[in-house]
Amino acid sequence: MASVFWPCDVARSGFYYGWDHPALCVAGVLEVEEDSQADALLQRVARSTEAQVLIKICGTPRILGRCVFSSFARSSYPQPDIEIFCGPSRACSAAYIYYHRHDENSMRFYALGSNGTRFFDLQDEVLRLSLKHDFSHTASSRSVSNTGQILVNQWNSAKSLEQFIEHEQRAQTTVQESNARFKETSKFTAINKKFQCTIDGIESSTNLLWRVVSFVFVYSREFSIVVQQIESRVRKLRRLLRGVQPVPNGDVRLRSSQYIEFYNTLWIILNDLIIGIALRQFLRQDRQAFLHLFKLAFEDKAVHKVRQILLWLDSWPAGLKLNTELSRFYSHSFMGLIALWNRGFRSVIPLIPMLLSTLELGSGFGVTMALAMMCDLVCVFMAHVQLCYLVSVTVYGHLLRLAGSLWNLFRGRRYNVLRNRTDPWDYDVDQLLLGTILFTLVAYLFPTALVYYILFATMRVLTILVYASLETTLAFMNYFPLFALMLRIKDPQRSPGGIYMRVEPTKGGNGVDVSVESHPLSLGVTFSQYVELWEQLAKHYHPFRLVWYVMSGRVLDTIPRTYIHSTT
Amino acid sequence: MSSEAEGWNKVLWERQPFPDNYIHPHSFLSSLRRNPNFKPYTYWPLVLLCCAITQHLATIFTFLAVFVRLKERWLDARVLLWVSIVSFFGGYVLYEILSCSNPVRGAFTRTPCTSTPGPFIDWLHHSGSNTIKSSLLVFLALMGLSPVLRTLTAATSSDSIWALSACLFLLNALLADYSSMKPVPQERLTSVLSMNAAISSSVVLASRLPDDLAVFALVLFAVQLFALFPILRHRLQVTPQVAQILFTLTLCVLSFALTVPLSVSVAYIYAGISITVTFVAPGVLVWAQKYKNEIRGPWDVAVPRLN
Repeated sequence: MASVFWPCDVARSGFYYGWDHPALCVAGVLEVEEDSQADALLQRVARSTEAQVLIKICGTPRILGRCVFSSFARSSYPQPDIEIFCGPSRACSAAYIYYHRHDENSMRFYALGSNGTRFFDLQDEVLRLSLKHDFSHTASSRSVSNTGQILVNQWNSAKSLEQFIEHEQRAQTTVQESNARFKETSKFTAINKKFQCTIDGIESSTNLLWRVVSFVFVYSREFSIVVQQIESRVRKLRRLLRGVQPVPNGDVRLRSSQYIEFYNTLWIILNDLIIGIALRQFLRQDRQAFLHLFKLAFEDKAVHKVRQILLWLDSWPAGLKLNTELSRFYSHSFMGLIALWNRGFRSVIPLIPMLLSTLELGSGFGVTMALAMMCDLVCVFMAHVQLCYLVSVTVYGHLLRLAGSLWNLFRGRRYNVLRNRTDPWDYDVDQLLLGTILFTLVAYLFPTALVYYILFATMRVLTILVYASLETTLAFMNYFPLFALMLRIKDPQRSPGGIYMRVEPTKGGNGVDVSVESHPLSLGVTFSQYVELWEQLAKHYHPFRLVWYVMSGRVLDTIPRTYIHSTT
Repeated sequence: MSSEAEGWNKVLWERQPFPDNYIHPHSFLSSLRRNPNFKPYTYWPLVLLCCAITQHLATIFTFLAVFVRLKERWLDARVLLWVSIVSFFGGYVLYEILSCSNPVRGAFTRTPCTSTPGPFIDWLHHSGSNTIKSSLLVFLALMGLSPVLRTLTAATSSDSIWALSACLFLLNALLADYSSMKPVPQERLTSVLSMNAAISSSVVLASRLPDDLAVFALVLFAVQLFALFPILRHRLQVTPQVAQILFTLTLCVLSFALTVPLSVSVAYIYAGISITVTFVAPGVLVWAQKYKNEIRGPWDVAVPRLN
């Protein structure tokens, strides 16, 4: 009893052909009288150029046997009586496992696991080229060492094989069609090439102006979110241009993933623009209210409140008697810094309406641009807090480290740099004495430094949380897999994530029908980029980490650019 | 002594007709020893050893008396400064003489003594330059830091200052190193902490003083008394007994004489404490020896005897 993979939609009698390795998989039926005719046809197809790719991934097709369909077709699935040529030739019954033959252009296919349909996330041409030489990288579809993979490839290419055979039968060439397809896409490739040329020209030019501009660009990428956003948007657009041409005759998985990625990017950008334009209308309508709100709230909260708190800290806050000299020094210098910033702010106040219109203009380019601008504005407007925070965290950090090293001194231990541990060590009397004096200084000055540090650390943590939420929203808007989700709902067979055998009893009778169906991709895989991004963000802005950094006197900073963009 | 018991050996690697936890009634706990290493204290040597504590208390009260005088401006800061410097040199010379005459055995001998003429050059080479450098460093550091030290706790009210200072001196007295043996090459944590407590206390007290020079003089004096004097005291333990007793007596009388003009009640309290610590406490310890009950046996962890 042999098990045969039979396509669901074939119910003609004739000679059936397919592959017999690794299992009997039938691709179609030829309605000819002689098996020599069928053989010759198959040989002609096998030698033609279009079928070479197919043969490479599936194996050479062959005439497997003859099938006869009984006139009663009661069950929904075809039940032929077949006679197998190769192997032990016996016209015995076979167990049929049915599979769907999907058309090449419908972009439906089977896949074994979910890594075949992973988004094509190698955006660098150079990287992709260099991966060809990486022997430890398991290429997705090139190696045919996996029997399950071969079977899946056979199922996916059954329909195209039949189409090749039909063309061969009608003796028409397919050259004209591929030529036509090629002409359309040459326009986009030309645009892409020109773009690439200009960028290369800029990067390699020795013109001073271009050098300065590129240096400024690279340098400001680290600080400004807007520049990063512009860069990533331009990169996406370039990928769009590149992705318009489809891979001719390629692996259907590759083609499908390129297609999905292309349309996903397109949808994201369009979505972005739509929401951005809506935001712009909203900002335009309530312009005055926003201006008024901003002017009222910001200066009061960010400048006057801080000054009040500093004055309060200088005069025995909550009955705590801080060291008067140090406290006075701290409060005066911080108030000086804030006053400096306030002077700058006041001279910028007349320009705020212009800032708001820039924001509107930016949101016309997409809500992501608006969010990026808001991030940068938060940074700029909180610059005074950042400066004061840097000063106080330096002092606090030094005090803590001094206390730690003095503790080592008193225990009679010294840090051994060669072995990275603390070893017992005999200190001189004068070293102990100086350590004692320093210890009294640190012990009595610590509360004052701590109080001022707590104030600015709290403000910095709040700023960072606001900034983090803005950045999270920005990252999510940039990379949402909207198209993949819609595809999953609309046509699950186009984004397969695995196969399973469905067993159902035959209508009216004994026995069961087994058919191969495909699971849609699991949500986890669809959102995998998202999950990675979220993990990066959560790891950097985790509350426990923030609290630990505050307590140990380390500088809190926003997430560096390489963390986010390395996952995309 | 049944004939059965005669065949019993206290081993487990032999099959015997007795159960494993059998023991002969006569030999039960026969190897228990009570107080095997007991060398009872005698009164007078103990009193002599307690002189270290008395000396330490004397220094504390001397310091307090000097502080009160400085605060009330009865003592000029410059006088105190000169006293400190002179006593530093005196103490150092004494220390060197004592080291020469009683060379300390061990790997940490710092001053190999020669009787050839020109010991000054030797001394200069071996440890003198170190001493000069470190003392100069501490002196200059204190001089530079005294304005800061004056205002460290200036805002605290005087009552808290007295309380804080008393606690810190108590800590200092409790944790100080009173041992008479050669000090371990490494200062123990408790002795360093006691020095810390004393210096902190002096800094806290110095915030009540009127000007910078007084602060400098006081803190320098405190450094002398609480950091350098204990080292000298260790060396003095090896001198003959009469010298020690005389020295202790001198110190006590000095501190008593300094305290009496300030407050008679405090002076009497101090005298009481001194006498208790020196004479009564050793008596109590000797009396309590009879309650000593240390049990040792072959079941204890073996203590290696290193000669």
